[in-house]
Amino acid sequence: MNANKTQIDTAMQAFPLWNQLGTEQRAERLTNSLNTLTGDARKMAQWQINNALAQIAAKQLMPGPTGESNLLSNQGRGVFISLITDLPTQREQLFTAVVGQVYAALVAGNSVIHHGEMGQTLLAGLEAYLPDGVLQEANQAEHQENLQDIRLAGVCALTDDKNLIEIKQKLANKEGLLCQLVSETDFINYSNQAKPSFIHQFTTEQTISTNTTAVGGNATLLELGSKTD
Amino acid sequence: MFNAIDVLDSSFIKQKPAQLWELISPLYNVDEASWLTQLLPLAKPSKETLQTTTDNATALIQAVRADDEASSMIDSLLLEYSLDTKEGILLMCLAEALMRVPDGETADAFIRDRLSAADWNSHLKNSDSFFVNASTWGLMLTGKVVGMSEKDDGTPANLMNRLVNRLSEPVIRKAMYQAMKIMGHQFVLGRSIKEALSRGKSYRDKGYSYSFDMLGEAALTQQDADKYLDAYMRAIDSVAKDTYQASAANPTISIKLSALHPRYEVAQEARVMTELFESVKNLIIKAREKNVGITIDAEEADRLEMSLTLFAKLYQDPVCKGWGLFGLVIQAYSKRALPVLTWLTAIAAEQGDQIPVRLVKGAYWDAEIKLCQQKGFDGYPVYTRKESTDTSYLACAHYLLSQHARQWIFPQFATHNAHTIAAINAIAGNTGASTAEFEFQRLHGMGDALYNRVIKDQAVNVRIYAPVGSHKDLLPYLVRRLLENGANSSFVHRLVDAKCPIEELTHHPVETLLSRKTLANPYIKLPIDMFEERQNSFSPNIDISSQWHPFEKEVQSYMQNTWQAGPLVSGEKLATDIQHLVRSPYKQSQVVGELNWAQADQVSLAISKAQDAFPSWSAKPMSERAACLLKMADLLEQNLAELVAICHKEAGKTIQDSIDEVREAVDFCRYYACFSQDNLAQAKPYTDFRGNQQQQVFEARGVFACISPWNFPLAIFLGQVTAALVVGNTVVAKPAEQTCLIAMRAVELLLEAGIPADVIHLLPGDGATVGNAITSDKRIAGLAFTGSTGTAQRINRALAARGVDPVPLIAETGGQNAMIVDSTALPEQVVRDAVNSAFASAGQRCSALRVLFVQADIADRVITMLQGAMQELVVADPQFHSTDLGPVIDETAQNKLAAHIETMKKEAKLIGQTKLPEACDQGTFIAPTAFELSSINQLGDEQFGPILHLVRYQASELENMIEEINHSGFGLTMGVHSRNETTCQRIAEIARVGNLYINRDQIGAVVGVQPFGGQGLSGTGPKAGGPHYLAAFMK
Repeated sequence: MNANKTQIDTAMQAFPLWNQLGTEQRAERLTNSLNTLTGDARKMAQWQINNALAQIAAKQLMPGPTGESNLLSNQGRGVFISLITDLPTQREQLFTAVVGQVYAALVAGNSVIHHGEMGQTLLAGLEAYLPDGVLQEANQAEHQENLQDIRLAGVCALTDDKNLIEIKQKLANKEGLLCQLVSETDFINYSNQAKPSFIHQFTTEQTISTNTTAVGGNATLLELGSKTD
Repeated sequence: MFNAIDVLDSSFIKQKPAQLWELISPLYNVDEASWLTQLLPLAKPSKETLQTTTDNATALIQAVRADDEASSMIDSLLLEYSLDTKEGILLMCLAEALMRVPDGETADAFIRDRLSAADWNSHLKNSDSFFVNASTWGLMLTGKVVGMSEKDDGTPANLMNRLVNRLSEPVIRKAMYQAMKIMGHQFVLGRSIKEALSRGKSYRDKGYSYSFDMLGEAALTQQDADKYLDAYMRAIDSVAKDTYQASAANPTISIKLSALHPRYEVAQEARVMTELFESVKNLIIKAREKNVGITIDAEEADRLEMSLTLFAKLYQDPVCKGWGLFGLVIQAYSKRALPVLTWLTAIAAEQGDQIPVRLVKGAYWDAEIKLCQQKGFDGYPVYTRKESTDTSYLACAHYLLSQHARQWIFPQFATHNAHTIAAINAIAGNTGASTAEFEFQRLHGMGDALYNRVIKDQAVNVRIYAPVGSHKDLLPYLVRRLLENGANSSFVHRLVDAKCPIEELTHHPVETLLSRKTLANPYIKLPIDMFEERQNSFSPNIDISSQWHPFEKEVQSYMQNTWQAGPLVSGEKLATDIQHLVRSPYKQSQVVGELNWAQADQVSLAISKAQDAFPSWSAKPMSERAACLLKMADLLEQNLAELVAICHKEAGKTIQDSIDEVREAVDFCRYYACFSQDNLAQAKPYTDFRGNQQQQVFEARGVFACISPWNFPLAIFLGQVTAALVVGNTVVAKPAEQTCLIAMRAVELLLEAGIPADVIHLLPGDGATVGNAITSDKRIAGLAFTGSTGTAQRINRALAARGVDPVPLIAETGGQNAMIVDSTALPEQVVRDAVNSAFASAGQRCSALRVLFVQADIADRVITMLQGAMQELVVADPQFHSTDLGPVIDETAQNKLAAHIETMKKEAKLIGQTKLPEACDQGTFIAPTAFELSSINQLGDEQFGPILHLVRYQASELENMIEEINHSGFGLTMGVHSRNETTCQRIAEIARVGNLYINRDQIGAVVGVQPFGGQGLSGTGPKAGGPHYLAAFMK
């Protein structure tokens, strides 16, 4: 097994417990890391955390027949690769975008491997607050190999339109999961990342339907039945 | 609808029974308020009667409360552990399941789960009953010990506490089993009739008589039905041998028909009328010979008409004629109760034999309400207020005690309510009925003091309805019935609650009902009004003759039709060179219609037209597009019968599957119409990360492609199409090759609903020609797909290969769906849900169960029951009501499934295979088949048909097993059957599935209620019918 394979194995292993923590606890840990960031990057990280709390933290009780409970919740998808292609953009602007996608991926419950030198900076700021393996950094050169892994749940890429198409084709040509591609090509306004709906690109949903009357009795209905008006 | 008050006129029952029969079914779910308006005059007392009733009820309650031995142990238990307390529910849950758990590990975990969650301390010494206090001490100490494994904040406790906990578990388990035995002893009169007769002697000395019942779960297998029949036969013998010299009436036997036949259902009425008829007839022969009366218990509302037909056939049989001890139970909460009583009177008068009728209030109330809401029926068969049921009860009592009724019916009033007793006595006084002309009945263990007083005060017979059987078998059933009757308003525990003022117990139900603002309960909305923002989809109840016969007739009027389909571009049917005949999967010789497949150039034309239409369609207000969907929903319901006929003939769907298919399509239309208007019509303000105010604007993407499967040829087809359309996209739709006729009809209806012809284009055809032409076209701005994972991957590649900006692919794909069953689960529920999940729709649902994991400790029992249940399945022409499953979709599917069965026969252990009737040779049928595997690793690809695999597991392997399931990469549905909430929660935490179903079947997700879709290899999300779906069709 080569080194990259090990990184994805590690990320796969770290994912379930991180995902099970729930959005609020993940948000708390990520919030603790904010003092390692400054400027727009910090604002972006804070915003992604807050946005996740507003958009995906609560379980939604769906309406339906009496005697059953239907809860819709959001979860992380699995392992995400974060990468940057060659771009003529200032480092600071790119770093804000890296923070945007990595914090969004993490707070949503995914584990992340970031390719490129900014990974070291990110990891240095975050590792004290995250369980082992939830965030890893890797060389830029290794991303091609990692992209081929059939277990990847998604890729978040800072890139231009041309490279975006190439990445999409690479992901589509491999077997395994239909890999999500989350991208940002605007490094002034971050028009994709800075939308409330951005977080949903990192999540999958689960519905839990419970027959609450399996043992018998339906307290809710009995209460309605005896309610006076 | 007849005029209810007319029943008091003796000429009413002089009508022919057949005429009176016709009055019953239409009242199945009649408008509650209008029917109650009719019943009220029958139940309303005169001023004098009201006063007498109130005075007598008050005196009775006072006398009961003055009695030192007023409350029985169960009364006390119910009072202390009222079912509105957490502890009351937990205690009942323990009693329901603990005794059937065979292994210590699971039993300990279950006890820990239930007891550590409760505050037993608060119940200590609240009760004067020794039994209750002794139980509380036990529960409190136990709860404290089992709670030691966690600190108050939920973190693990120290080693010493955990050690105490571990060491004490066997002791606690033993104590809990003992407690459950005590409870069983209270609920159940005896484990055998002999024991019951012996234990009942003291009551009989007081003047009571008995009706014994070998209660329990409904039979799922012929073996279980035979066992129950044998038990009833022995019971009759035992009762007959009883030498007790009673002054009161002789004991009788009550029988539950669902215990005597594995398919006591309307769909299997032909078998019920022959096989079950013979069983009950044999019981009657023996009972008559021994002079032991028989009462048929009442069950769910859907079975009422069938049970009455069976009753009449038995009653009118020579073996019964001239006897007069064959009776039945009528439930007053049923809107049909009164006309049923008049019909019974008429058949009794015709034959000249009296019919004993036990009038009860009804024990399945919440299940009836839930069923109607789930199925979308247009009303309830039961009343929605307790006082309405009580009013109906008194109206029925008034009729039963009238001179012309009691001549032919012997009324047996089952009640634990002092006011009802007083009211019946008052009615009897008014109608001149003597106490010899009726009797009261009560449940064993309930209302002892009340009836001890009644027996002292008046010379009326009181019969105790007494469950007989093993505690292990009976407790689950009895607890469920008890919980269902456990309303706080229940008289049972308020009678003995000294804190409850007597005046509160002596309100006449008619007065209470009339004091309400509305007669129907506004808090229990009709099924159709269940959702606040939209109308629920509707279904006729095919088990009710007044709804089934007209519907069946309408469906049949389309069954000789043929349909045509072909490319429909801009509303124009295009001619093509590729023609196919469409044949029924259940009868290959039957041609359903003709189909023209689209050509590649027509695909391009359709996309051009769709692209041209996009600007104007997307510019329309959301409300205008949503209005088309709402209109479409109405059109689907108006055309239900034709669509059901096409589902039968083209897709081989059964009646209920076909109705459900249309309902789902209707729900998609209404849900997306309402959701889009409420959430996506306006830009949403938000503050960006720099603190600037922004607007999130939702825009359509352009031409969306929708590629849908054959297994839900209408619902998924329309789910994709309407989602894309309502947010402003134009659509090219490719239905599955096998089911284009219904797609064609759906598009015709969309056009009728107001969708412009240039906006929706239908392109029937195969993947090679039509599918490839769509996915390789650079103008496609997004694609929704449901089908196999492999096809989704190919589509993904084709879209990416176009070399344009990536577009959304919303894919719903396959699964390898599991159900996990631990040893706390009730085997009957497990098998019912597993059979339904695996074999309904011939297993051709994405959500269908493929691998049933059963804890080894109960596996043999579950397997035996599964074998028996599979023998009862009916595989046949899907248009028959009796058919459980129809064919698989085509020969390709049939061959693949047959090959898998052959492989499994060599590599796994065959559990069972349903027999296929000869007629199945005419179509592409696959017999439902189940195999036992040693591991899930023996399975490869998903087998999309009626094949179930079963794997045993040890309790300690649960988490590893879930990991193994997760490791497959698929994650669509999973079922869990366990009474242990901690186990359920843990599985929910670690299982990577899109839809998890707990203690129910795992199919039939409802739009807007159970958003549906998988994780991992099972789909991209967002979930169809959920709040995030439409946004994926926008940018």
